[in-house]
Amino acid sequence: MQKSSRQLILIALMTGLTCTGGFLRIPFFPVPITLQTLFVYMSGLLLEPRQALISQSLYLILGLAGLPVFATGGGPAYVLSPTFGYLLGFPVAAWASAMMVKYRFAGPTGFKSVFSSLGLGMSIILGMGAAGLIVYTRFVAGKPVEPLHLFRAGVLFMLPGEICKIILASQIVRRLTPAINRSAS
Amino acid sequence: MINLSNITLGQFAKRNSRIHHLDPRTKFIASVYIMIMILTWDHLTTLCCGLIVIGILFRTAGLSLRLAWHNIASFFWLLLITFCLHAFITSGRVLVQIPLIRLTLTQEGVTTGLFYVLRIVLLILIANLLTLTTSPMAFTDGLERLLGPLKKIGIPAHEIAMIISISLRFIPILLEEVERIRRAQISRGARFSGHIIQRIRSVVPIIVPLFVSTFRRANDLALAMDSRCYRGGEFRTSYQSLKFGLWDWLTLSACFILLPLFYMG
Repeated sequence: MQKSSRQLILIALMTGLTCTGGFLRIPFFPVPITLQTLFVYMSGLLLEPRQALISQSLYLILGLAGLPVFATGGGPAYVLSPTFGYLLGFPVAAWASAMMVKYRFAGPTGFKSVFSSLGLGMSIILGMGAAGLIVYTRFVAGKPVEPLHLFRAGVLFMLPGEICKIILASQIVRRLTPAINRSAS
Repeated sequence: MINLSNITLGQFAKRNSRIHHLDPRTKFIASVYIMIMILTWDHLTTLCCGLIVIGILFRTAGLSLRLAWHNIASFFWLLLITFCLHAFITSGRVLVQIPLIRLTLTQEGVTTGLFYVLRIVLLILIANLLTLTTSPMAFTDGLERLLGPLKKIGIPAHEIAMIISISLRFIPILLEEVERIRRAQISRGARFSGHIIQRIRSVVPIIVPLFVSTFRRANDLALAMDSRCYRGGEFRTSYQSLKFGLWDWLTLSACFILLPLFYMG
């Protein structure tokens, strides 16, 4: 089997899975947890850095082109939404986690190493999300808000959910590795 | 857990209209240009005129205005938040004062709120018009041809178009797969309720089989493509070749000549 077409399809399916992640919700008060970022982390762990970057960028492009794959729909108007920073963080985070895995800063399966690579991914998503919030309040809404408030709403509030998803991702990868090795052979 | 009914992926609506028959590249370029122009308009009246024009375009494309309304309604929360943010924060002539939380609704705020809401509505409608009148195949074909020149700087245009068409094809299948796995796990006694830790853990028996079946699908599809001698973009021809005709030139020139007039008005 040619290696390239399988890689191509894997990228496409990771894009597709990230899109489905928006529809998978764990009911939780006050906002349901969506599993989009789980798939961002998974693509960081399972794909090569360049592939991870492509798959998540294409997810963004599909959403911006009008497919309702983001948490509350899709379309170019999303650029003006307060949460666009998080979405911009997806490709970067997937690429960074994949780089960590590739260059053996972190092996793909060990609990500690998964934590370090995904921790980096998570900080990128939350960091870019917070930056996006600052840009939104300053330039789109035209009303600057105290950065500390934004930090509380945009980072601390998200942190527990994201850590849960990292734990999930590490568990899933550990169970998946034997299955992937079987299917690749 | 998931609601399959409100997913309008691949929302292409097949009609026999002039807009449907335009080259996808024309529609891409025109929509991007119109969106940029919309972002530069700074009068409420201009936006209202734009709304009327888009309404006419929807009718020309044989699409009902109810469809447009339905698409906007799914953005209800984004629009409401945008409106409230502007309506209550902008200072100006006070219309209503809400006593307990000390919020004031100002006239200027309402106008700015309406302006931003209308701008987002226009952007949504333009994107909808594009996805409703362009089939997924035409969409990816057009994208591939537009990205073509970028091949020189190392952007794999054909691969990107291929990936997009595969993932577009697979999103509904993956969603069905999730539902199927969920039912299978429920019939085996899996529970998706309980406290938060249990709920999060309950995702594992869905995601793991989802990934396993995804990898299996990837293998099958790769095998199918290889056995049909798929070798990437080099020398590949397509069944329906795109043609840039008279109407495409007319549409594009109309866009580029008429829209700046809006701006002046």
